[in-house]
Amino acid sequence: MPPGSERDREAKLSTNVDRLIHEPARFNIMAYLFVVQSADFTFLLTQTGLTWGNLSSHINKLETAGYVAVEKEFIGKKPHTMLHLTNKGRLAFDEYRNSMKQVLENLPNQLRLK
Amino acid sequence: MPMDVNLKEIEQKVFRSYFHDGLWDIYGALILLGLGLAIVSGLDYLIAVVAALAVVLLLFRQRIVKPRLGYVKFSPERQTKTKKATLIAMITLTFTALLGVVFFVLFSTNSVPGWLDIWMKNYFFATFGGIQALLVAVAAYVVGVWRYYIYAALVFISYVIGGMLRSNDMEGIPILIAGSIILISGAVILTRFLRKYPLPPKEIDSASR
Repeated sequence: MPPGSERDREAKLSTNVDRLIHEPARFNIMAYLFVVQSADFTFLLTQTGLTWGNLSSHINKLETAGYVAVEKEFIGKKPHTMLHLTNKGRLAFDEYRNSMKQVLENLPNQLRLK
Repeated sequence: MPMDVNLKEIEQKVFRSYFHDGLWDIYGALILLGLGLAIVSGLDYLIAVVAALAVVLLLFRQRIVKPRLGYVKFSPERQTKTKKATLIAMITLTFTALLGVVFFVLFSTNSVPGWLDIWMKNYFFATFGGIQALLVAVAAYVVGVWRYYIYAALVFISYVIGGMLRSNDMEGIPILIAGSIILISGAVILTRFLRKYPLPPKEIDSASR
């Protein structure tokens, strides 16, 4: 396959997508955290519909990547664990959306099946 | 597919979900019922009793709603919108209260102008109901809960009908009926909410701390 071919270019486009965010459950978590300032685990459980173990696992991966920060706050007199997207996470989410938009816009409008 | 996701809609859906517990419906219904009972029985203090139930409502939200839905800090833009809406509501309430004071002074000193006396006799109920309905409609617009528009219409219609029944001393009945309908609606919504969002298991509650 000659270098710079169309197939080569399409493969490069798809690999620019952030695979950490691309996973549907993690995308949902990032989307819900993107639209608020911060939220707790119960909020994410009710909004995403994930199980506790699943959510915890995905949060760990996002935290390891530096996309999500977990902090303890006091709400009233009770300590509460709140999650929020870091600046890196917000930037990564925006870049993911833009790269997905680019990939989809470059697809042909209609595929003709013979 | 991620690109079908509209982040603005997600944010609005999240914000609206905090008003789908039925507690504000129940509180609004209690106010209407308090007003209706006060009109029917002549016991004006009932309105103050109902207003004090706001404290109970706040406790309910803290103890029942938030542990089920979780805690969230909305974006600064949303917080600004909420503050603006609250300000509009407070200004409207203050204006209504001042108007009430002015009317009270005029009537107690027998200084009511003729046109105002006629208006009070013919349109007081409709105007009072209109102001209440306006407040509910503003809440509906800010929160984006469509059923609040229906409540606003119900409130206005009940006061208009109440005004028409004044001659029969039945002006409180339509307001009681409207309050009862909204109370039932709120109770149904609260029941559904409690079923849909059970309390999270203890391990989540303790882990999230």
